[in-house]
Amino acid sequence: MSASLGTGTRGLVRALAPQLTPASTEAGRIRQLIDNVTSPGSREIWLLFAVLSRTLPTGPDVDNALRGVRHDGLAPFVRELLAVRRKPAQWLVPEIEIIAEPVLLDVHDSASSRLMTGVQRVARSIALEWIERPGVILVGWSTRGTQMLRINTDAFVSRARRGLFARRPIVPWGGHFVLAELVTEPERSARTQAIADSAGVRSAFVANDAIPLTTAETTGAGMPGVFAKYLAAASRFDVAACISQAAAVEYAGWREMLGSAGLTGPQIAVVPLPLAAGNAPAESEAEARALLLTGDLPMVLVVGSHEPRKNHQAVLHAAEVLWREGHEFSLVFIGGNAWNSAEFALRLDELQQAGRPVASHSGLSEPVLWWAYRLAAFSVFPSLNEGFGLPVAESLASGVPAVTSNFGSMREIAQAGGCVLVDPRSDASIAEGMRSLLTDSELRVTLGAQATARIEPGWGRYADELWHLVLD
Amino acid sequence: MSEQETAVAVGALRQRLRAVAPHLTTEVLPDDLGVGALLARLAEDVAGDPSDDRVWLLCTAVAGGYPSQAEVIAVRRGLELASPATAFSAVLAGVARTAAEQREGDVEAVVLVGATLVDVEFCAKHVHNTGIQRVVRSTMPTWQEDHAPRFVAWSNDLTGYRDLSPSQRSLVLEWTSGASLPEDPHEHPPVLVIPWKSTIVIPEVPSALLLERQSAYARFSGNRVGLVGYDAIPIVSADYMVNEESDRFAHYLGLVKNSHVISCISETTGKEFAGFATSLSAQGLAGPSVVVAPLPVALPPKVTETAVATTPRERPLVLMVGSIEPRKNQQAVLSASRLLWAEGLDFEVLIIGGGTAWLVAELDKDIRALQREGRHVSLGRGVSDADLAAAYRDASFVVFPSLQEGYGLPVAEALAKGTPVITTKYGSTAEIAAAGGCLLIDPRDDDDIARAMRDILTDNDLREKLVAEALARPTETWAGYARQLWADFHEVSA
Repeated sequence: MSASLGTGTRGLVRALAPQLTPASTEAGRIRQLIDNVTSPGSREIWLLFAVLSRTLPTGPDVDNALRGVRHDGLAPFVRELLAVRRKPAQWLVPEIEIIAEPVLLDVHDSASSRLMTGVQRVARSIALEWIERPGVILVGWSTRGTQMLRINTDAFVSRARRGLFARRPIVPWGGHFVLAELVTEPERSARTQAIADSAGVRSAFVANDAIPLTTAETTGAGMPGVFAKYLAAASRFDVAACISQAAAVEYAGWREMLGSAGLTGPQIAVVPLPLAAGNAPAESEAEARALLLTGDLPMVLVVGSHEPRKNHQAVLHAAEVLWREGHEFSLVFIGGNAWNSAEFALRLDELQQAGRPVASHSGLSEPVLWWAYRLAAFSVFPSLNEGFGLPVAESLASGVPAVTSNFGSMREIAQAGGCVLVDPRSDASIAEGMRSLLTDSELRVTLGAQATARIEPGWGRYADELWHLVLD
Repeated sequence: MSEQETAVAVGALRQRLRAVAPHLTTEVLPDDLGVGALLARLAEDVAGDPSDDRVWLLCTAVAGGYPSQAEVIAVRRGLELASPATAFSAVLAGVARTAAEQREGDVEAVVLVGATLVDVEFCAKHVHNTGIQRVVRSTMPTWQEDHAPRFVAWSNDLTGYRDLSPSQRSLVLEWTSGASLPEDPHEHPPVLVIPWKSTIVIPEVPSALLLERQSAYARFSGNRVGLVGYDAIPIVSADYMVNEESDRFAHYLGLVKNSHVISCISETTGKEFAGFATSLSAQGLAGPSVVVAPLPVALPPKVTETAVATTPRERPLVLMVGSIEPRKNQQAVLSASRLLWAEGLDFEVLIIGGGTAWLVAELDKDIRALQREGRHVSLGRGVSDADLAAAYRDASFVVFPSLQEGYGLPVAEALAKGTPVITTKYGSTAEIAAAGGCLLIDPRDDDDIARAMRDILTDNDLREKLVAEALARPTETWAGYARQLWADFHEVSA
């Protein structure tokens, strides 16, 4: 059961020499540690480093310390760490609190960011479901990415910024560490790697996709580099909780690579995300209709940012082919501009100039977004690679059929019905998929019914499965 | 552009279109067809059968360089929506970027059918000679002798292949240690080489600037593209690399994804690329066929070693060779040596390698501290190939406890000289060790490294046995490797 062992050297004595009562002075407790922690392993070194220097160690920090202690004993190592603390930059860092056997859930970005990406939506949903469970502590990171801080749960729930992070850093002694989101800060990655490697916790991460590795050509500058650091950390975890079979295929392939460095990598498990319906309140309907519909034309919906991987240029091309054939429909994109989306914007503008009923919106409210799905005849999502394909799930959760890619996570979601599968690398195939739904209203009804049958009430099932995977 | 320059550029465009015409249309085009009419005819023809390879070939001829993937797709879409009268403008609009980046407006083209092109961009223009360059320069002379393939490098604007100049050829095919760069390493014949129904081999890991056009020809041109896979260290050991290296490698994987064969230098590297290929099914792709041709346990051709010293060594020499970086694990060797010196063993450690200045400085500091304690340890930088060969010969054994390797050339070169090796118990070094002459250790355990070093230092029978094993290994040659590599790229298609 989770419990605080106290702070600083007092906590260290309780963790590393539990048979002793901590001495009353700092010097006495340091003496207790030096005398009683004989031949420490990486786990003990990790804790001593984290608590005495008040900074989480990286892997090389732990390796160097182990070597130093091997050759020169524990005393010089302890003296060196205490000296680090005398640097002015360290004066204001409070003593570290040691928590025995916690379930740390790292949701730093989702707690502090105003954005709501797919990854953050997942992390936040897990946190909201887990918040009351025994031992669970939500954690984030200090600005420099060198300390772990407790997240105030009230602030998290109400999305407040003030008082979100507690000042006193914490470290686990045993227990669990669950990383619910992608880490893109190198300092945080390096320390996360050392936690998984040396801290003696059972560690798990939610594996969304490996796109910056497997589809680097479609990601922004610098992303694959920071993602590789995240993967280095991930390689030391015990469990990868993949959000789809497709994500598991990517991570299993990556795991195969690790043998070259003598690493085994995490167990690859799948906990599929839910098809959870969103809230489309009646009062938003009129606004959504006015914004998104063009007369009586059936509306074809495309949700997602306009990065090349999402293949929106192919949708524009297929739509133009269909308009030329005489099909009548409007095309609505919902999503922001993103890396390398200029070509898309240019082509969109050309088609609008030519009088085609096509529009692009961004920054819409959640209710309007959920209405967009409901008002659509069908949605189109021919992405070249997805860990899950949230827009397909959201479309189906709204009872609306989707045209999507015939592989990976999208095919997986489609397997239980509601979708038309296409080859996203073939414009003709995308056009054919859209044509079939435009011309065959019976097909639309059948697929819509299949979609409706699959809706889940919320994130409960997902959060339970993840809990059992990590804690059992 | 002056009127005259324009005329030359138009003439060159006409020449390029005529060069590809026989591959795009079966009709015989009249000799006096003007450049506009010629382009219109070919564009209309390709629009009638817009397969990827035909679109790529037309794009290449029009732009005077190889198109990107986005350009091929844009032209394909443009042709689908164009009328016969506007097809040519769809092509011109689609390849505008490559045409603008192609700075030799008057470049003419030659189409090679059924040939093998070998992209030796780096080796043809640089005198750097470690890892990959050693492999390329040890291999290509055999290819030249057996098959005389077309060695090519990139135009200076990086838009397409050119034949090599004589001095570039000599840097690749007649390499000698200490060779110097010719006056203008970037001068080349001014003709665009266009491969068609050919094989393109890329035996180097190309610069990031080339990947876009290489990925496009691998995906669309119909040419068969073969790579040499060295390692996936920037991903697997990313924690030891700067982000830029990992970034560059992830983009290289975009080329791997679209290529047809990748021949890996060890089983271990083969598993890395096979793992990557497996992950591609999540995006509906199969990836390249992954094959393995292990590098030979052999010395590079044409190295003469420094003569044996006349006075015998005072104490046994322990040699470590490799770049100075945490992944190579020099610190573990120092740590293990400290344990043994403290036990009273007497030996000398020589670390040979270069690297980033601050990493070298850091190691140098630790070495100096040990020297002050009276330990026999030193760092050799800028060591010539001849001195390196002599060090391999003179060493009692080589210690190479790297945390990750694609192969481990120092292990192979030591064994080829009959010198025992202590090396990592997993991965490619364990593969090399399987045929004898090595002790295997856990590189993350200093005590284990010390144990193996102690065993050889104190047990002469063991050392003799390992020397005998090393000398008894089956003979491998660079020529043999080169022939296997050629076969990998030319036989798998069945």
